Amino acid sequence: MTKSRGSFSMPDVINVNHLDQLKQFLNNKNVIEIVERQTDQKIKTFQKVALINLADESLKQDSYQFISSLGFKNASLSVIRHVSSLEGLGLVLNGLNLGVTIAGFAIMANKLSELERSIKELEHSMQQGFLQEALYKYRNVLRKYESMLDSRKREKAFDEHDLQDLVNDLDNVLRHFLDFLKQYSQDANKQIIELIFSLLSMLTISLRYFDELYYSNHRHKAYDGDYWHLSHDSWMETYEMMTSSWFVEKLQDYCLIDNPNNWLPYGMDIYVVSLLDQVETWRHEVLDNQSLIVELDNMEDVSDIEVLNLVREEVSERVKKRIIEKLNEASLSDELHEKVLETLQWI
Amino acid sequence: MDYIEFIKQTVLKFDDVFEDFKDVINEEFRLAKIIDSKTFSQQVFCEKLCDYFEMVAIKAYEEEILNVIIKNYMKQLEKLVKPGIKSSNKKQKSTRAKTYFDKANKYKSRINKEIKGKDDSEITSFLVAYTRIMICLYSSIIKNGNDEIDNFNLSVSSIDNSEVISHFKNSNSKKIKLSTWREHYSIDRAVFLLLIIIFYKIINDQVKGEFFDA
Repeated sequence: MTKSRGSFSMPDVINVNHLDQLKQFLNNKNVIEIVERQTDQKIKTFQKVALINLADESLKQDSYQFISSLGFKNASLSVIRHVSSLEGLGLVLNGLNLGVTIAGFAIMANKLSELERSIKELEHSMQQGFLQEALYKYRNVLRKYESMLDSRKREKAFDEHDLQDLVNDLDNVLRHFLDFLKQYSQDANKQIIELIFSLLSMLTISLRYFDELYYSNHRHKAYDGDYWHLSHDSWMETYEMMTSSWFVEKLQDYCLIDNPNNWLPYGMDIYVVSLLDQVETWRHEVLDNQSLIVELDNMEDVSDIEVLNLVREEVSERVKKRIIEKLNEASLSDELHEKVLETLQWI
Repeated sequence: MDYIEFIKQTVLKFDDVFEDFKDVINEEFRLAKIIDSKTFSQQVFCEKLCDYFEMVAIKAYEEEILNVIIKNYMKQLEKLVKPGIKSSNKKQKSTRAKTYFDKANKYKSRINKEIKGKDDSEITSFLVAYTRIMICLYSSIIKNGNDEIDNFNLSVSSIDNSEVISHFKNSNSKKIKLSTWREHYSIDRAVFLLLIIIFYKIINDQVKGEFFDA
């Protein structure tokens, strides 16, 4: 098995030691539960992103059929069905999963210039000043995040304190933008909401990596149950903020009051519910990852935290297998087939 | 707008909410004369609702009866909600409740425009949008003890069905309460029926996510 680089990679060389470890975790009930949950989540995420990517009018019927065949005809999927008519939501959701690969990250970094343009249009200088400062911090944190992704790509070690700084900075910038949204909501535009959600996406990924590294470095000194960094609860509060009633109100106001397009309350509901569900999914991801780390460590003979990467591989493989199986069963056009494979690499 | 078309777009398409809706209507309106209306299927129930509107039209001697009911409906809702909206003075920013009240009025103008024009295909959507805002405002006012509000909850899940319906009914008790057969087919009772239909359409179409509901 090759080491996970935070993106899809095909297994080539099988390492005997790791294969033994693999067998063990596949027998552990709690680990299996988490693996299944993560597999389901990834497939649901794929469905959401695919529904947007494959939302071409002429291809709609085939796309929906294929996407539904992956299972989960759940409420949130039918909600996303209408998303092709809401371009605002499409862009946000697409941005949500781009934090993990470098190519995707570059797309997100481009949004920075979009925001800079729209800031110039702001009328009140105080808002401009507030936002300029947030932008400055955002530029800095993007650079740090990029170097973190680069380290993982080259399988270089990334220092625990640097990673902690990254998490702190991400949280800090995110809260700065949230404060802006709270105070100056009438100027909350599409870019700021996109930024906020892409920041939460980056925070989620960084938190997962940080938790792994922190646990790996400190577990021998950890007291029972007290494994995580002191600031962890405070970082998790950010997720609470983004599902709080004031934040929901801001999102609703963006849709119905500030938005130049004439959305109706139904469209607003789809937008808000989709975003809130995404925040909650990410929150679960961090918590599940923590459970997994502890669970794997408590298993006998599983001493290497690297086995966490094996679990990720397992999840990725299951997801890919299920999707490709259904893709081969479905009779999609070449164009659609290509689009599905392209979408797969973002998950 | 034609009431038959309206019933087709709303009640005929109700899913799980149909049973609750039927119970509420049975309690407030006597649609069945001989057999128990609980036995009516969804299609038959829609037919009886159309019959009801037809009787209202005949009594009022109005061919475009739904348009008349809609206009009265919006007037009635505005009368209920407006006193509960705290308006700010000119120096302050408008309250959130006032902002949405104004937004609802924009939907109202749009509905009035559609009623005058030939194309009424969008009246139902705008009626639902208008009602959604007004009902949420009304629900928040009720929860605030009928005092003025400056903010409110725009989520469908925050609305208390029975509270809103009973408050609406009691707000105009003389005309809405089923006193005599004369009142049964009055415009005011028809307005009450319209409210219940649109209300249940909102609940029927409520957006439900994996972790959150609208």
